[in-house]
Amino acid sequence: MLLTARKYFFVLLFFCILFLYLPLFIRENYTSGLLLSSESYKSLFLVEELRNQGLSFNELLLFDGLAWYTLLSFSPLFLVTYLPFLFGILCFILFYLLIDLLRPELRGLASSLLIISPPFLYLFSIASKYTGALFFVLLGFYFIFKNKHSLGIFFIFISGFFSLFSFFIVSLVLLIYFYKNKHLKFSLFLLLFIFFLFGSFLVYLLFLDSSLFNLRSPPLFSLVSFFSLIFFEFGGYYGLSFFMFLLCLAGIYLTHKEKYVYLLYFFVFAFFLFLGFYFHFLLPYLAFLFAYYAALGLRPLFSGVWKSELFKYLTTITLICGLLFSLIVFYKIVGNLEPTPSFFESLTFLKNKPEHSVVFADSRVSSYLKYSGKIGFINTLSFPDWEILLEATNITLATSLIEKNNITYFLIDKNLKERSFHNKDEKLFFLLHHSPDKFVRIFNNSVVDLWEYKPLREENPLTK
Amino acid sequence: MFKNRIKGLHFLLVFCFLFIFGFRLYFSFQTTHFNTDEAYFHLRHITSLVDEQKLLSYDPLSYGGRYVLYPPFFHIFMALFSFGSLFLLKFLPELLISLNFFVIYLIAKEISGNSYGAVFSALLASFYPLLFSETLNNLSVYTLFLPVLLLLFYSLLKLEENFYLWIFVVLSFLLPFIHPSALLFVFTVLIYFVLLAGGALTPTKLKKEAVVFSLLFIIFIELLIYKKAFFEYGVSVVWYNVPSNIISDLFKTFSPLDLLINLGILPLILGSFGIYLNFFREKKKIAYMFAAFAIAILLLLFFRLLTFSLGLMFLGIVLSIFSASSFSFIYDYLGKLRINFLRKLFFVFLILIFIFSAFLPSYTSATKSNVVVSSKIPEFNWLEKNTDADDLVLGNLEEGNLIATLGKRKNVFDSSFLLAPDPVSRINDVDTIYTTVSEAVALQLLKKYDIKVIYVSYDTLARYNLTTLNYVTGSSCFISFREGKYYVVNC
Repeated sequence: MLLTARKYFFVLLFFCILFLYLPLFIRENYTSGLLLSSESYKSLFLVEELRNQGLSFNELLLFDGLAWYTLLSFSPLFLVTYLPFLFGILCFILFYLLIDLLRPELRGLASSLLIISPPFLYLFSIASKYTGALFFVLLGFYFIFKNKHSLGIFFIFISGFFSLFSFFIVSLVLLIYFYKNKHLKFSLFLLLFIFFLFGSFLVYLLFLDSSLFNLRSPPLFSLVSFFSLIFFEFGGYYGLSFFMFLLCLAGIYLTHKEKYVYLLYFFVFAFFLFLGFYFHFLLPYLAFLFAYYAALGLRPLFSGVWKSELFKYLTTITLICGLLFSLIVFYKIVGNLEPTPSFFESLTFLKNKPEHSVVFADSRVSSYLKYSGKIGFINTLSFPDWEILLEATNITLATSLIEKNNITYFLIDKNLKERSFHNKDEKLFFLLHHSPDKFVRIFNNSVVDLWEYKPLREENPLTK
Repeated sequence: MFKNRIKGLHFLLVFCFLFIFGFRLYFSFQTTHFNTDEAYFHLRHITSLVDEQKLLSYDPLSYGGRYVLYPPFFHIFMALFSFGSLFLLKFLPELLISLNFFVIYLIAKEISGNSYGAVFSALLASFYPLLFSETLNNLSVYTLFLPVLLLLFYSLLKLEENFYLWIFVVLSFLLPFIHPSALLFVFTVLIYFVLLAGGALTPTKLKKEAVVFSLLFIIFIELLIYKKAFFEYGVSVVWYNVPSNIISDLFKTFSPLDLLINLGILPLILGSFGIYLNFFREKKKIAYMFAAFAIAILLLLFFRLLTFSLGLMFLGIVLSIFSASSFSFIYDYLGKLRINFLRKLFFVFLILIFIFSAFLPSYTSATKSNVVVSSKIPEFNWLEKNTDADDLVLGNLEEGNLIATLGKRKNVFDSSFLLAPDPVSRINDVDTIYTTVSEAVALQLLKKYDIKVIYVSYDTLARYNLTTLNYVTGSSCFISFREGKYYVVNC
């Protein structure tokens, strides 16, 4: 089988390091070293919080990703760039070892498919708590498959310190695995633990921090947005490679042909992809499974007997091109992904303004605002007000909301302008433009317009 | 006897082909230009290839300058074989779409087993109103796409023959480079396999391998060509970034009346009956293939993923193909009755219906199709001679490509929306410029796009229900030319 010899492990490791390093190199050279994604800036901001203010016992207990932020806090600026890179390499090695345990003949192929898959590269290019969580999940599974169940569960438990939700999902999967393999002791333990976790999470949401419900409503599901998000080629940065997806379907079909079992697998994958629509971090998790099944789907190309050598040759070439296509496109766009230098210019400008000022902006940019020491209006738990203000056509209503929420700045980026104002001079954008006595444009470039709320007070003639 | 029959059939085939070709050429050469605005989009690309030997990826005239995404093969093919000659650019599309007659004959014969039924079916597929309004005297990509797609289906069914295997491979390469509707082949083949599984028929291993290759290849090429658009719009790229007010016209669902008007009554009745005969009575793989094609079209139309006109055009061809089976069935049935004149009567009856329901509506469609642009041509020639090369000219949506290609001036917008800069705003602003009563509002918008010339055609006046622009009378900012057809902005 292709790439199964031990020596190829080092070749693959070399490529893994190269592929994971390239996004860092591109960002360093084309965006003046800006980190990728708001998630990275969120990590930086939270690490600062953790270092400066510390957290109470309650907060510590319920602080999602505590281990991740604690790790970063040793050297935030260095680790925020290189810790995901390191976890990426470790995850690759663990995946290789895992496949070696399960299907040794596939280890080379599956691992090579993994390192060219965009969600793997994207996840390990950003400073996300899920990079650490994923590493411990894989480590846990490695020990479980080696029949060291207690050690495995321990590492999966550790992954909960990186992400509670990830732990919750993985525990559910593990529960099914243990139940299926008749490890009832572990199943019961996990079941109780999941109940405890779920219960405490509910209590937290309902009693301690009901504000979580007030934040944004979940994205509206439509097939168009679903496909656009779960496939990289259709614009989903966390998305899976379309060709790998097709190969994965083929792999599942070929492996579980009997009694239509593959339909059950399709259903389970569809369910997880659906979840991935709401919880993007699941897509890189799935990338590992996809790489495994895609390798199974690829196998007939190399070992199967084809009736026409011509079609075998053409199909192989097309598949290789298709798989490499997403890799190349990933590197092509990674330099243009958010935050761009133009966008960051506005944040640098904002950073010099008084701290803790409230900024009206898209929820997408909240993490950047926090990083620049400002409060995103949408994070002040006033989502209904945010929506009303966005749609406002009446200056009196708008100013009353602005004053009620103490908003000082308005950051309108290209995305918000397109999505909410359809690039037209309408609603809030119209008010900002045409009320010079209330709003002063203090910054603008090709992607961001920044206004300051500065009402001109009419002086009372009697007090003169 | 057999030889005579063969000769007679060949003669009939050649005669029919020449008749269709001649008919199309006659109408096509009535004018020295093309019928639709879209043709001029293609003409600009072909001219660029002929003159500058490069594909037009950046169009400096469309939307004042923008990137264009379009599969290149049609333009390359036309540039290679026409050398930019207007005569050949009119001749070649008519030849290609007329050659479709032979492809449909082959398919229909395979389905029905009756040569005359197949000739009748191919004639039906060559004469229905929508086909004429879409492809006559038009540099339409469908004139190449349709024969290639049908030949691809046909060759897929005959893969065991080496000749068709190579045809299949070559056409699989070409199809995605002609038009994104190549994805229709992907859907059709997937539905075909589902139908085969349900109908207890098994495709051969070779066919499975061929299908896997062609599907992957077509998807890959479409992703490659449209990668920029996919990253910009996601999956909604299937609607070509068409603004919502236009999308409802382009991607509308159809009613039975639409079918009747655009396809004619014969393909509808005989085609539907033919599908029933083939699908439920005789289980032929080729019939399954074209039934899958029909289902794919209907599904895509239903989900508004295929434009109305394109969907009906494909549907017309499928129904015509299946008409051969109905013809054959009725002809054989009448033969069993042992009353000879009934067959002749049926034949005459069918020809009469064909003339009245297919040929005459097509003739009307052909005569009408020549009116659209001819009156405008001198206007665009005037534009080229009397304005500066950098001037931006405003026209309505159906005049954008004409302004760019014939007038050789930048337009504000045209019907090619993919990757176009902000088409929704432009459409709204253009509507405002044409309809506002305020000179100030108009001037502000004209300044926004740096528009130098406003073209006010009869079509524009009719579209906005105007007699002239509301703000130009008495204004010193607008100088009228050619009796109010042009207003040069002078402020």
